[in-house]
Amino acid sequence: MISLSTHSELPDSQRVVITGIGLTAPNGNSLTELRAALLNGKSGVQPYEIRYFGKTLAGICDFETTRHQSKKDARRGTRAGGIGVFCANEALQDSGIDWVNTAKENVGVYIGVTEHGNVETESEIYQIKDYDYDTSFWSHHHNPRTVANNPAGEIALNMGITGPHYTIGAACAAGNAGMIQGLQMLRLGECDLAFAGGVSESIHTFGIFAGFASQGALATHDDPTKASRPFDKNRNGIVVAEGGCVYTLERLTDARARGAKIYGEIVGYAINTDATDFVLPNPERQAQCMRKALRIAGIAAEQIDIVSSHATGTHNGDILECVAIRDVFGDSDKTYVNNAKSFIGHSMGAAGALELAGNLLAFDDRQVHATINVDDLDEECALKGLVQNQPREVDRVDYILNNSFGMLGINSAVIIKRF
Amino acid sequence: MAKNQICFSFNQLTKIETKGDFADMAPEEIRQAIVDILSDIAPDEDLSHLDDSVNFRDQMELDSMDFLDIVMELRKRYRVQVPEEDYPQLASMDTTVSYLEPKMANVTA
Repeated sequence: MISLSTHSELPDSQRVVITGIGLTAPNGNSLTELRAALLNGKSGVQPYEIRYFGKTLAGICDFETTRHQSKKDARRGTRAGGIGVFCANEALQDSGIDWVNTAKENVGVYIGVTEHGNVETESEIYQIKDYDYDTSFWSHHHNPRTVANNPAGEIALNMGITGPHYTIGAACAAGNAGMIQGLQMLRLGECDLAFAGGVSESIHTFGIFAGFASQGALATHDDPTKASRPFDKNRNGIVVAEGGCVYTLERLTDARARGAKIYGEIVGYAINTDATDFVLPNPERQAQCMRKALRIAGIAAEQIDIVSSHATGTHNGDILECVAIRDVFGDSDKTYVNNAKSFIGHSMGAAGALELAGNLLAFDDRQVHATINVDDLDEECALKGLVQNQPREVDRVDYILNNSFGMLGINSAVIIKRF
Repeated sequence: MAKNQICFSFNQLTKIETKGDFADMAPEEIRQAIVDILSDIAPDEDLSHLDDSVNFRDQMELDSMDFLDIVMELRKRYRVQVPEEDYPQLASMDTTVSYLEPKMANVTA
């Protein structure tokens, strides 16, 4: 296997930077809104009800669906597609790219998804139930809505992008995986501009709620805003959320040539696999994943200022990630650990990209947002640098490591450097 | 609509009870039924100036998938089956209403 170059060995034409961000989260529809919510302890979890399953809790987005999409296209497409279209257009606007004069065949779209198609399939079955399951009432829109490339394809269709588009199925590591795919395609010269990130429409499938409930992994709490509580002794599972985050990624040479604003540089990344269980994480592999990302970045663990943890609020998952983080970061005095799911729930395919976005402005405001709802810290989750309940001001933030892990043992880590 | 109620059917037309008996519908009622379907399929269009003698496609943005939506909604709402060879009959409002009048007379509740 060819060993990957460490970051310091790369020419500028192989360095990849973030130049635009578009997002929707349950507690904000722009980077500044999300950042303010994370620094002010504002949750986005609300009461929710879905067919068959009934009353539960969810992270719900309220972005303007028709800002970049006609009502007709929104009806014809999927929620995941609509989220992607919103985020990609917002990212483009934020980037300041001269879109009219951009060669659309050199633009790629790489969108991570945890799952896709469940929402539409459940909806169709629900509809034909009233017609005695006569499949002649099954929608002709079903296939274009449920093909696995749908969310990325809707973005390409909406924006007239004629380069490659596809989704990356990577369970809950998908947001990071989308970004990594975008970076790799830029380095290979397969595109000159990548729209990369992840989306989640998962709150619209009853199956995900029912599945987590049957697994004993769905959060409940009288106060919705307290339901998502990673690292707390009384955590009782996941709050499912929808959301999306799409970045414009460019090679440093291109970004510099147009005088782009640069949020940060992706200097390290890794994806690996537990190969041990369908569901239960393997901290040894998670630690290997983080170490590989550090090796590619060419930095020591102690140089990471913020670890944006994946922890979802399940009993075992949180403890095992803490084992991995302790293994890698040990007694590092300057490394802080936080968690965005405590605010917005688990936004599935969007989580990796969205949770990273929530941390990026730390390069400028030097605040490490907290993990909230830690009323009674689980001793097994007592990480040295865990930022509990209130943000922490630091002298300087140079590196952020973003963890995202998923079922079937997929692990991912991305490292962003201040630019 | 409350935020926590948006979960159902982003992509489905509003669920409508089957109207059943089409036999008694006058042409103007059939026309209104088509307008209702079109307003769901093409929500961005202003249908108040629809010219009944002009093909839908020449005055609205409708593609083949949209026409299939019209066929599907006729099936769902009125249990009217439009065979594929008859799709050209749905070109304009005038031809659609003319085509549906006898079809509707044959529909039983």
